[in-house]
Amino acid sequence: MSTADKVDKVDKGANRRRRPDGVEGLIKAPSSDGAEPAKAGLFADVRLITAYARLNLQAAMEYRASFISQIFGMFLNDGIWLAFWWLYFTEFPVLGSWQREDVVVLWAVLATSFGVATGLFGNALGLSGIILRGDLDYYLVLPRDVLLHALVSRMSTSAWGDIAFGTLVFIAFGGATPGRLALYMLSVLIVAVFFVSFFVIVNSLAFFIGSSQGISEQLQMTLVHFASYPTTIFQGAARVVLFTLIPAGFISSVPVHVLRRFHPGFFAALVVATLVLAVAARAVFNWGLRRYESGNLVTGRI
Amino acid sequence: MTVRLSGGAEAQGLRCTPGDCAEHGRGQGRERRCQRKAGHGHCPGNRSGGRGGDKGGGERGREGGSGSGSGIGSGGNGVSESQTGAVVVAVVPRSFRSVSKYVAVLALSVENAAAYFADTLVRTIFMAVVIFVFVLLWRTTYSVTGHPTIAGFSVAQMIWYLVITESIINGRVRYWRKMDEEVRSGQIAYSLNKPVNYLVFHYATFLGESVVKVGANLLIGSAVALLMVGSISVPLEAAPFVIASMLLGLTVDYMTEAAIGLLAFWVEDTAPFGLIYNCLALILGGTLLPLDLFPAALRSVAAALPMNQVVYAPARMFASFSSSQPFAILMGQVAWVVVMGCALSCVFRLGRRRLDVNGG
Repeated sequence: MSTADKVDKVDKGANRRRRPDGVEGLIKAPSSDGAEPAKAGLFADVRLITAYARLNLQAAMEYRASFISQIFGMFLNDGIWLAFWWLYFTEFPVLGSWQREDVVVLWAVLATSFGVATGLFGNALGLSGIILRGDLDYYLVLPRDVLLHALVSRMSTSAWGDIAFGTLVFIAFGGATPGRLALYMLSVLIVAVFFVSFFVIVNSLAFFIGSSQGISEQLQMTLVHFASYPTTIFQGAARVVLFTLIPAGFISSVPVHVLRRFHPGFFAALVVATLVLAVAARAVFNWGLRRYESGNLVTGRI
Repeated sequence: MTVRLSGGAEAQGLRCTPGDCAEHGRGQGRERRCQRKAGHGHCPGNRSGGRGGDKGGGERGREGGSGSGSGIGSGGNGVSESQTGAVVVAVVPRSFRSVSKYVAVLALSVENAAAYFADTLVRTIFMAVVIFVFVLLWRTTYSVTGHPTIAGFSVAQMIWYLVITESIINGRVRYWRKMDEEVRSGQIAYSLNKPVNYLVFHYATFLGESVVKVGANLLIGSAVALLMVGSISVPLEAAPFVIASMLLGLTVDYMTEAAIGLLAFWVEDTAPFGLIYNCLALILGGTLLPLDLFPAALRSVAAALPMNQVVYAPARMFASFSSSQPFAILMGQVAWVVVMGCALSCVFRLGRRRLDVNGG
């Protein structure tokens, strides 16, 4: 059975599925007579993202104790690293060109952008699992962009802890003037797209090498880990890796080259790198999607 | 189930869990009789038991189970004497048999954890990234300060210190989650009915799994450290002390985490307590930075907490071993084992009173 046949088979049941009211109109499948044209375009995509974010948040809030507990946990987790750097810079005030304030801003940017990435695009971290399980079938039959729809249909609850932590830290310790705040928010959005693009690329390995969850997970963690240290410690070959294979250097340079002293050259490089990564993510995913074969698993979401 | 597993599934190489082993021990009665080969060969409960539920309540009540004596060990658990005609009188003292039961649980836990050791190794590759970044950080730090040693550590000693701390902290099983889940799901009611001491049984399970995972982390971490900073001079006689220190550290960790998990008898969600403990272990336990680099006031606070016994004590002992220090460190750890053991026992006894079992 070809993928198209399988998709068609799943499609017959798709119209009968109940979906949350908020996204019903946004992802409605075309009826057999074609009366419902597929919605497309940037505006529709933004509406889809916001609708899913609202619904996922409502769903998370149903288990309020667990929601608060996860936010608290992530807050603590991020706080540990800030405590580590506080202790470190108490003993060693300067690390290359980096000072305590730079690391604080780094963690503010890192936590917030990671929170935005996994909060809005919660499936970015687990996309390889979706591919392996054949769960992409569900998204294939709906008239929405498959990648975008798959990414936004889940939210990482703990991401709100990251966002709260990063924002509070920046406001409290980051010297938040209106200009810096605007730059900070812009940086966060760019780095969030950077994160999602990288996660999509490494998770798309599942299209090509099968069970790649372990590798994808390790690469994701490596990017975040590299990005959480001052760039000054990476020299020689490690620095080359930091700006190519594991491009964490673009993220960890933000505090020094954007927020402390704005370097237009670096900022342009960051934007270009993010665009390249985003286009590459889309291309790799689409390339992989052509190789995708469903496991004949008929699934439904209620 | 037991006999079928022994004759069929186990013969085909199927594995059982430590929980299964405890199941086999249900029928262990007061009489020192042994039914040979009635169940898993490696399960002491079966070696000495197999008498069925008629005598099942005795050891349960004695070993800290629910004490209900409800005869949960059914006759189907063992093979009757007449079936095999091979009853022997146990000559092994009861206390030894009791210990050997937990040793078997420990061995089984190790076996289970090591069954997919290659997979475990792959999953711990991230440890290489962690140590790699620490090497870069500390090389830069030593280079910037210009000192050959910081707080008594050379750069190589610092990295090996971090290999030990990261291996322990990443390899230990986060046991509060399991305890919390057992209490909240009600599974603990079934666990208590088994003829084992609930806390010791879980300790053996925890230790077995943790030892394998810590070992995998040590392998990966040591390989990176050897490649990047080389070896450090550690005398051979340090090995038993360091291993003992690591085991005692893991014991303190288990006792603390188990006590946190058992708080589920009183609170809906123990996750915040588990997370706070983890934070304290990472920072005040000396996982990311040796306590020697802390400001004096914070160092005093950290030294007074049990977390530093889990990671700092064994790592410090390994990284800068001197023949005069190990006994003092080990005695400090033993003292914390006693303190946390008492605390855990109290939490368990108090929590057990709150357990209501309705039906089966």
